[in-house]
Amino acid sequence: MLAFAAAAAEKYALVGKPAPDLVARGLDGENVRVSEHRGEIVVVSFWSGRCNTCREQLAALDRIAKTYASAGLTVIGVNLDDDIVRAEKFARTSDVQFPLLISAPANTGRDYAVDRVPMLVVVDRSGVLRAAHREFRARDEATYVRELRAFLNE
Amino acid sequence: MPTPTKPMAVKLLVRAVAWLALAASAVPALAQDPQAAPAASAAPAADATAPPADAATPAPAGASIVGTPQGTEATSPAAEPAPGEPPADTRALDETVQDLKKDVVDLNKELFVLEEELLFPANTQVAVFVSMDIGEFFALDSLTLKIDNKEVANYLYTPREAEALLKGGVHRVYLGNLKVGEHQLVAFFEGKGPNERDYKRGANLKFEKGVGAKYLELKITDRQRKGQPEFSIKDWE
Repeated sequence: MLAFAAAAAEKYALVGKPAPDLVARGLDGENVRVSEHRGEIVVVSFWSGRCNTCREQLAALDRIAKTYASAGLTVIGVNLDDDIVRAEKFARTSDVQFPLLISAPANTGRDYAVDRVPMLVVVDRSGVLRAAHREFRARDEATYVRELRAFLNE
Repeated sequence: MPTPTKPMAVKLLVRAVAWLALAASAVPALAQDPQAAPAASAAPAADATAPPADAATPAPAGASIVGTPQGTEATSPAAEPAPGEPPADTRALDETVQDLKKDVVDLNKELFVLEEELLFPANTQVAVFVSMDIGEFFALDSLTLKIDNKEVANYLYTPREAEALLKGGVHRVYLGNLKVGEHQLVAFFEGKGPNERDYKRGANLKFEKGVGAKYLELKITDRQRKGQPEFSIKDWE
């Protein structure tokens, strides 16, 4: 319980602050840097190859990305596994259109205070981290849409 | 030992800037209070926390605020119906706010320079830059930098960044401090070489750090005759 409270506090500690920069290699071999998407609403989803819920969340984000990409929404999936082979296998079997990054630097999880997966953060057009969500349930997709629409309309 | 006091000086300056930013944001808030004029609040709203990009643009508008559409948009709804609020005051207040914002931006610039001077004084400063010429035989992906066998930088280049280098951009990949004396710099370049093959090469340089700042340039050039990229380190005297 205490750990949960601490984690929640940590999440809110990051909200409202500039998002830490993050760069990692995508499946296609191209590097992607979060700060290069300044001016767009960026959703960064942290996932693991061992997590089935992550697959569901990535699928939900893919649906959202397809709808709102033209409005300035960018979704990036970031793997936090040490096992790159597993991560690659997972990524290749995930039918998503947005970039899935593997081999992220070791400090990524710490920088974004990721204590469980899936976890996603929303970075606004000026590069400020505005929201964070831990775990994923089916009904969360509607919450994401509502929240992202608000950010896109700002 | 002057070094421990330098970060303190920086902190103090940061505080000073923060106070100025706070003052800038407080003025429009005061303007709202007497007559609750919504238009007046719309003009200078919010941006005190994001000075470099946002505050820089309204500054020239503030300098010639009377004629600009931005200025009139902000003031005319409140000024023309004039339900007991003098427009001249609002304009003056607007100008003050814009001036304050400009001051914040200028201070931020000065602070940035000062911070670099304090954190990396010229007598110990070492900066390493990366440049690329033509790039027909090499697409840069990442760069690892070691000074005296210690890894000091590891940078992944996105396609956009690599393109910027090809267009003549120069990237400062490292800025740090080194003692006077002899040092060794080793750079490892990774990317795609000729025929889209994975390519990894290194370059090293022994250099003498004097009392002045030291600038080193990692150059990636094409060797047309061999059809291969060439990696070199240039010591800027």
